[in-house]
Amino acid sequence: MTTHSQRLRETVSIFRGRLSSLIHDVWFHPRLNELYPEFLFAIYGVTVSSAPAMRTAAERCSAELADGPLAAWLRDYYLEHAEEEAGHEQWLLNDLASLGVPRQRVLQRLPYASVAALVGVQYYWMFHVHPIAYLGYIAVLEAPTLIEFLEEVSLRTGIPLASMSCHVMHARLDPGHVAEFDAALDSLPLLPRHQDLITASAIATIAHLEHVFSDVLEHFVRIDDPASAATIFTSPGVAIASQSREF
Amino acid sequence: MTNVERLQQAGLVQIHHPLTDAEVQSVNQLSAAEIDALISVRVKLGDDFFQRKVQDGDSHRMGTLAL
Repeated sequence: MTTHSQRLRETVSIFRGRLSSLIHDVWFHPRLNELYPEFLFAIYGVTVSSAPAMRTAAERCSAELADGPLAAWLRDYYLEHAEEEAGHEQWLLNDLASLGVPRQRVLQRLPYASVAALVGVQYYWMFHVHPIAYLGYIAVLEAPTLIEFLEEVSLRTGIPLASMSCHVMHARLDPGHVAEFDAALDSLPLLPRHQDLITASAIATIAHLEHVFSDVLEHFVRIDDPASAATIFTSPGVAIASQSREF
Repeated sequence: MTNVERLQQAGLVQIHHPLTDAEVQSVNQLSAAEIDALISVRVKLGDDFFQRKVQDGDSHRMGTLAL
């Protein structure tokens, strides 16, 4: 018998092909060494929202759902994970600062609209449908980069691992999260409408992430336009180091 | 009409694209509401995916974002 998590993973796997291509294009971009800060900025926009969104989802469980086992489980899960995610945006601010982008510039810059859309749809569902929707978002996003891959990127681009601490920390801390999430999902007394909503949320997350990664790549392209380049975060120090190795 | 046919009709799956048996089975197990969601957000399973498909291993190594 197919479990809830197997069914969800299969669906995500089938429909995340374009997203995987876009993620690949970012990680293997020939100028990633210069433009990694722009990638980090996009991730910052997502990460800064995680703990507050989970706390809000937990509040919605308390406010709207009958005091059944599903509501209690969801509330506890969201609160526990909000605690885990709190402060992770600081890793990104530190990484950006180490690459020459002061935190004040990050805080002053408007996040991508695609990031706001990615996160915003979750608020719609948790306020107007059911806070279980956020599990679909977690199912797609909770997929840390492997440490071996990060080491390869560092070697290939010259970006120091120390400036990839957000990715590195997630790689080290999160490998068990996916299995934990799947086991928890399979233990829940889900109704068909819960399953539909989790899938819809996961699918919307894929679609919005496609826009986020497309935006990152679009910014990578616009770096050569002097007018656009003023707002794009770059790391000239890494670029110089990398180029000097090539000669 | 099957789910795969609905996705083909919506232009999300290319008719000439050979879905694997496992993919067909997975898609056809989805509910009507789940297919509606796929069509609504236009997540494609088509040429772009199959011409530039990232190997599953790479996809796993790169991750997504991580919360």
